[in-house]
Amino acid sequence: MQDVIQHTIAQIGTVLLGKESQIKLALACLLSRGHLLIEDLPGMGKTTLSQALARVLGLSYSRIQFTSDLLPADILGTSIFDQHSGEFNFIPGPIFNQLILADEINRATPKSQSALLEAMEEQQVTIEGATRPLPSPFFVIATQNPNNQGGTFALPESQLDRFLMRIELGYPDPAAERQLLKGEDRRHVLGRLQPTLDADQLSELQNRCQQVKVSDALLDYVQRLVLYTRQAPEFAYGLSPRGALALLSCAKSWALIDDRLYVVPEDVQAVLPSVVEHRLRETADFSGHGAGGLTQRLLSKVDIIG
Amino acid sequence: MTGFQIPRNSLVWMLAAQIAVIVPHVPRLPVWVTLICVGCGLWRVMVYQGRWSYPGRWTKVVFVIAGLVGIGVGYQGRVYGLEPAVALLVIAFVLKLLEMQHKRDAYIVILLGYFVAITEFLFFQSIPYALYILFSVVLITAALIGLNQTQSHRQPLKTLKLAATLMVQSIPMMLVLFVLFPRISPLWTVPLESQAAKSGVTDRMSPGDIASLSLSPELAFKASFNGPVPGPSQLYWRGLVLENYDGKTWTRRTNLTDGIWRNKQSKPVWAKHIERLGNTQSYSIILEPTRQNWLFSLAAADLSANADIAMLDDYTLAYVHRRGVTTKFKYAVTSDLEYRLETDLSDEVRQRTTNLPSGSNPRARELANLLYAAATSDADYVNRVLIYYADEEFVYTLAPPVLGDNDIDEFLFDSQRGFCEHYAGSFVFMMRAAGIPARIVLGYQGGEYNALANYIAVHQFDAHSWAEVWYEGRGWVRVDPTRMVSPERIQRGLESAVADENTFLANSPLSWLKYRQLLWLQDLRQQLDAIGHYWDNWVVGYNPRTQLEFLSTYFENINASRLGLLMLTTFFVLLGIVALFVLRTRNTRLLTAVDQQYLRFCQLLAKQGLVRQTGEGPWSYNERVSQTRPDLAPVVTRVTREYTRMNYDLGAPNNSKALKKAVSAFRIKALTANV
Repeated sequence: MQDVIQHTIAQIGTVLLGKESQIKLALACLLSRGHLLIEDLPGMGKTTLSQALARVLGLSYSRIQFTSDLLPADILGTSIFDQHSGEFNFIPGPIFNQLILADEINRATPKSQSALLEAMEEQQVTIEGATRPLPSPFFVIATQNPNNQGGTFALPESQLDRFLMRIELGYPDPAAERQLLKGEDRRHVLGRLQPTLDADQLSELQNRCQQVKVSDALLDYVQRLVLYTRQAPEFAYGLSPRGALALLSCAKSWALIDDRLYVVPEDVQAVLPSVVEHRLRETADFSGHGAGGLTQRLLSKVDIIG
Repeated sequence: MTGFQIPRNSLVWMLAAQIAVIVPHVPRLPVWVTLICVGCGLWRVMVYQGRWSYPGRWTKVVFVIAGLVGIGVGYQGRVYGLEPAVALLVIAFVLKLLEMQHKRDAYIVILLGYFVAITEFLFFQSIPYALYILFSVVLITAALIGLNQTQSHRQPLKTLKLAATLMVQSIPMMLVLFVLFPRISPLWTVPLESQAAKSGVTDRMSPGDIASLSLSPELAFKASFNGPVPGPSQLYWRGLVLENYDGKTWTRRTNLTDGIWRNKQSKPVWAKHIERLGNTQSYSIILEPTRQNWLFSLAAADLSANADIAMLDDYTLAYVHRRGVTTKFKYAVTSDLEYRLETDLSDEVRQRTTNLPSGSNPRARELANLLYAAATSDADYVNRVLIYYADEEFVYTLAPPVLGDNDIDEFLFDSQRGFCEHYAGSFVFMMRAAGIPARIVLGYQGGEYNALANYIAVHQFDAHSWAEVWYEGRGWVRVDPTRMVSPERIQRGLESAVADENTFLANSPLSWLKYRQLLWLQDLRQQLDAIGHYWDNWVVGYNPRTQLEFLSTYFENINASRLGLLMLTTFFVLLGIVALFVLRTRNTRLLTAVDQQYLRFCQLLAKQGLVRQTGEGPWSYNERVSQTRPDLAPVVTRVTREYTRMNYDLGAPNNSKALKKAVSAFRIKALTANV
């Protein structure tokens, strides 16, 4: 099974060069059955990463490009009158897929954002009075431009909280960029990617993640971290219990990806910035979302041995 | 407009503290100062809410000038004094609120708050006031804490609780400083308000003018005897002597400013005329502030050496305080109750103490001549006069009739109602009419014994006057004519003397002393008085001398520098105890056996110069160490593997055997590597 994971990571790595840790984070997020938010500038490979994930995981895939005139019906689907049968037929929207790429989610109006975010939370949608379940597994990978860019509607804290992780890709290092420039078009490479997993394997991996062992010593460490965010004045507010659960769940997946059946502090430290940054706010920053560099401070202030 | 907004937590407590420290001063401040305080507080709140802005520069200048002028006017130009100084401080304190634009200004306001709180002790030093000021200090401290908290602290009560905790924690240090800090006498003093000399002893006496003597229940002084307390008939607390008589009013001879402190020595030349004959009593007196100079003591007293105490240079055996008693004043006295005073009377004194203005009170003179002619000696004459008081229908009353020009005649023959001043005055008149030197003594008589703290409390209503008569060969002898009329006054105090007429403390319905017949109330009052007495003795009266006395019972050869050393030592011992306590609680935090082993391993590695950072995980540490010291890599990795396996996989943090082995292996390797 471990081979499968490593193979998956390597496969995605052929498309997204030099971003192994982000790929692992994205995978850990999906293994923890969480939704992923990728935030970065345009052209950094957000879409590439999500497409590659969909392909190698062998999931049915659709992409919704969010724009300011996108309506909820464009996401969920709508009923259309069929003149031949004289009935209304429901045409499912792109949301009825296993993996949804919600591209540039913060360009849409809050109304449309909510349509997606409700589906993420409930795993079902209600259209015209009928409740329709969504396929399983169901993942949403949303990408967004940084909030300070033009034409964006910032997601509120409550909706950011629906995403298990928020990751940033960042610029590639010079070697990877050189390879990128020399190599062939990534779209071609993407087209050649083969699925490395099927839905059953994925589901089994997810179950295994849940069984990764967490000792009392580690729980102590996690609780100390959470307590610090609640007490230290530099954080405007502390981490919620849901945030703590998310942190632990991601750490388990990370441990599994590292081929370990128990969590060590390094697992927590590896996923912590991606899991907690969008759930916290810096005291000094009244408008922003994200604790920024404070998570590094958090990690350097709380010792693994209490 | 302003970059600094004072935190809400701080502002709340700052305003509360400001109210708390100013309120006790209000009765002494001109009304408009209080109004300014209220106005500034409101303005500050408005500024905080953003409705008003800070006053401009010229507005502030106007405020300051108006404040200065106002103090000048409010105290009628008496700007050199304690109360105007306090008023000035209060005004500065509230005006500073209005220019609190930086954090620094807020600190100034808070420090001024502490200062204003302390000034309250200049006026009152009792236990309730001390507790109240302690409470104000907690409020000010809360403002100081709030100032250093971020805007996210929104629970002012928590801040107050923290301040109170700090206060309680600082009590040991406070006690050390109080007891041991080397005390020095003040370098300069500010005169206290001398208005409103309190009731009690005055330095003139004209009994005929008084229709009703109003009595004050206030404490005059407390006397603590080292031995058994003398009986009430011996408790004549002598104050001052009146020798001059103009036919109506008795006054003192010397003007205080002429006579006494011309001579720096506390005992004038005539003191050799005092012969002490035994029955020595030693006691100490805590005198309440009287704003007068008189010091009270039993006759033939010798007061403790003190730069402030002087003996009057006028043959009257009166002691005075040089500057006037403005705060509680404690002095030690040794009195010989048996004494002879001035057996040789100089002509000048004899002339003065037998002098009567001619013409007045003819009937009294006639009676004097009659009695003197029948008497065999001066002493016999005195007895005859006393018997006259006893035989006639004299009544001791606090509500005597007003007397006319020949007041002594009217009193002796017509009204025959009066209190001590009438008796003493008429008696001295009778003596002088017969050519016997006599004078009036003012002071207190009796007092209430508190068995709990072993002292005698003398109240203002114990004020008394009596006579002294000079006999050939015996000197001045105390004679109290009141005793002939109302022995209860002397034996059991004023209350029983006037029990029938309900005049006792008629003007003080709320005084505890009025309800002495309620026993439990009496007990409670005596207990509170006893506590207050210890407070006065040991806290308020703890001055450089008592400090040395107290400490020399525990330490030999105490002096200022040793005192400082002692204080510092105690201080650091206390700090050390606190430090130990803190360290202990840190170390006793429960560490599992595995964690202990791992920490030991980290310490060993730290000696190699590789310190594990806070928050550094075991594998990250392992990697760092392995890169820097490849020679140690295998053993270090073994420790790390064992540690993570036990701590995070097995979850058996109390079975550290394998880890212990790994750490030992590392230790050996590290030691050999060093060699």
